[in-house]
Amino acid sequence: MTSPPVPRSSQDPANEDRLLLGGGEKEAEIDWDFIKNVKAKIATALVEYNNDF
Amino acid sequence: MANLELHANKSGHSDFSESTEEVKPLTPDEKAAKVAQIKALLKAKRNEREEAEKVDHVEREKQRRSMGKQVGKTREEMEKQERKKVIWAKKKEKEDAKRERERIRSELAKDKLERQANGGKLKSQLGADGYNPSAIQYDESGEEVVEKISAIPKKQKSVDTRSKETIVTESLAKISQYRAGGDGGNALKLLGIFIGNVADKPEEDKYRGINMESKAYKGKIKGIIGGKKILEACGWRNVREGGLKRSELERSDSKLVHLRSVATSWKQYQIGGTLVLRSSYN
Repeated sequence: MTSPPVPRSSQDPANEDRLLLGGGEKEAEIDWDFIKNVKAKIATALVEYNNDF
Repeated sequence: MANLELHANKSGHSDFSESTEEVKPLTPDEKAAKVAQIKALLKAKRNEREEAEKVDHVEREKQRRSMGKQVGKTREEMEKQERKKVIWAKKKEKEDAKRERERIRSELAKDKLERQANGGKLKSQLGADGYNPSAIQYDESGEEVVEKISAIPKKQKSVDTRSKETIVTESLAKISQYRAGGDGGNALKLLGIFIGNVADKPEEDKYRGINMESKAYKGKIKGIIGGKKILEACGWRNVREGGLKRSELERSDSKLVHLRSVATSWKQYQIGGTLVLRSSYN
């Protein structure tokens, strides 16, 4: 008898190296303005990168 | 009179008198004979000089050869001495190693006897730095080892005191320097996706987690200096050791329970010697 496949999420998730926004704490304050600002900066950097390339 | 003095000074003659006889000019034949005589004299002189030079040259060559031989001999002698020195050093090294081995063996034998006499322990010895046994003291309790290990200063993680804006700006500049294979561009694209998803849909939990074991993260961000720093500056934290969000854990737990129920619902029936698997789960 074959055992049903075990989903990846149940294979001890603590062993996976993960990054979580706010460190996994609900109460952690996230600076959304800063994130939006970084998003814009990355977009600009990508455009410049492609122009220089 | 002046001519006389000039002649005396020039020639060094002291006893001479002025002659009234005129010196006869040489005839062309006599002149030719005189020139031929002078030429012959010059040729003889030149030959003589060449002979002397030839002899000198031979002498010099002989000297050079003998010097060369001597230098060769000296060099050979030096090399011989050098070889002897190397052989002697190797021999000494071997002898030293042998002596050291013998010393350690005798020391071990002595310690063994001492341990046998003292019920498996060595007597303590005091050295300049305090307790200093001649051999390793095996402490069965292991407390001392633990103490020593804990005394080793742990590497302190450096704290980045720069502002978030500075970290992001500098990291972006660093990433943009990766030109080979468009690595910098790929990293920027993926960072843009991660941060863009969160910025556009802040209510979606799934965009808040980034799997650092994923192929995309490993291939595009992990090896790039500054990639992780940008994410950290935005608020992402590494939660490898039990730091998963409650909601995520609950979600994975509920999935696990559901799958277990599916697994247990499989029933095994034996019909006419054939193994049949049936599921009661719809």
